Formats: sequence, structure tokens, C-alpha cells
Amino acid sequence: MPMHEAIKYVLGAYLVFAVLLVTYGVIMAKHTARARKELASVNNALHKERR
Amino acid sequence: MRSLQYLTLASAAALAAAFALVFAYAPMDADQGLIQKIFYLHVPLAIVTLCGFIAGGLMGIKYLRTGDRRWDVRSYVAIHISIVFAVAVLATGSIWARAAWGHWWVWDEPTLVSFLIIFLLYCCYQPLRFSIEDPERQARYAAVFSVIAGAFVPLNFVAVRLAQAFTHPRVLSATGGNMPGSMRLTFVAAIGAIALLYITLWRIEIASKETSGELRRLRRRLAEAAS
Repeated sequence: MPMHEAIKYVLGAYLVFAVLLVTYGVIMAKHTARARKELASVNNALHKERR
Repeated sequence: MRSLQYLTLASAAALAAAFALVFAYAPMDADQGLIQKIFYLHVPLAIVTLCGFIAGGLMGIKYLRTGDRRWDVRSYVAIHISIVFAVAVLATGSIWARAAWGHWWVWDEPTLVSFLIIFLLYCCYQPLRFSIEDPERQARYAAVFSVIAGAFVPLNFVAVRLAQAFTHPRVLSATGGNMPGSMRLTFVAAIGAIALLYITLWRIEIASKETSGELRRLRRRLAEAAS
């Protein structure tokens, strides 16, 4: 197989892996952001309770 | 939290080092040329994925023996990450197959089909798990599934090796797949990096799940205190 053809396949394979990893990272970051938001609201609720 | 940061940095460094070895150190394969570089991604991903499924089963056993919910969460996360890795295995394998054999998929190749069967089997795990509302039953059924499916993985591996393969090469053989030293070193580095990545993602997701659980408990307590 000529080099310019082979590069496309190799790049494609490594890109698929990178895209999956980034997608997973974005989903996890969203989860973390949601947890932070919830933590802030629980904190607020706790402060109100103490007052 | 700090240990997670170190682990993330270590796995990023290991991946960078492994890929540097793949493209700068490992020699070009005489038969396949450049496309053989996919091997250093595809095969380690496949090995780590299958080990992850087995680990999920072992954690399922631990849950069934102890009843500790943390083992159920660990098993669930191990299987979840393995499914994500399995998608990468199938995609990279298909790309490599297209480049090397001229086909995206070969149905009469036992290695490919057996991996697809394992993948489809584990695709049933989440629907099964989340179709049960009672948390105790959910954890128990999921653990039983993970143990049975986890036992199927090595059985399947042995069965495939006993079968007469046509096109898919053998890497884990007595001769080590006839790899020269530099290729073997790169391959081992790639396995190490992918395994470290798996462990890192597993730890991150476990931490996220534990935080969510803790938050739910706090909310419940707050609601109880308010009423």
C-alpha cells in the first residue's frame, strides 16, 4: 500500500481512539460540573438551615 | 484527589511515551509497512478490554460474597470502561482490516466474531441493570451477570485459539508473535500505557460515583432534617 494511503488509515485509527477518549472526558467533566453545582446548592441549604 | 491528579499525569505521560516509541522507535513492518502501527493501539486495547471484563466479574464475586455496595460500583465502572474500550477495539480493528485485507469486517474469522459476541453480550449489561428498580436486586443481578459473562471471556479466548484461524495474526504465542526486540518493547510499553489509562479512568469514574452518592445522602439528610 502506498505511504499516502497508509497514513490515512493509521491517522484514522488513532483519531478514533482520541475522539472516544475526548468524548469520555467531556461526559465526565459534565458529571463533575453537575456534582459541583449540587454541592453548592446543598451547601446553601445547609447555611440556611443553620441560620 | 491529589493521587488522581498524579495518576492522570502519569497515564498521559505513559501514552505520550508509548506513541513516541510507536512512531519514532519501532521499525516499519516488512510485510504491512506503516499500517502495522495500528497494531500498537488495537491489540493493547483489546487485551486491556478483556482483562477489564474479567476484573468486573471478579469484583462481582467480591460483591456477592461481602454484600458491600462499593464492589458493585467498582464492577459496574470496570465493565462500563471496558465497553468504551471495546468500541475503540472494533473501530481500530475495522480500519486495520480494511487497510490490510481490503474488508471492513471478515465474518469467517473466529477472533473478530468472538470479540463482537463478547461486546454484544456486555451491551446487555446496562439495560439489564437499569431495568431493575430495587437497588439490592439490581446490584445482585448485575453481579451475577458480570460473573457469568466474565467467565465466558477466557473460555471464549481458549476456544478461539483452538479453532483454525484464517487471517487474524496471533500475538500471544509461544514464539511471541515473532516480534523483534524493539517491536516487543514498544508493544509492552503500549500495553502498560493503555492499562494505566484504564486504571486512571476507572479511578476517576469511581470518585465521581462516590461523590454523587455522598451528595444524594446529604440531600436526603437535609430533607429529613427539614421535615
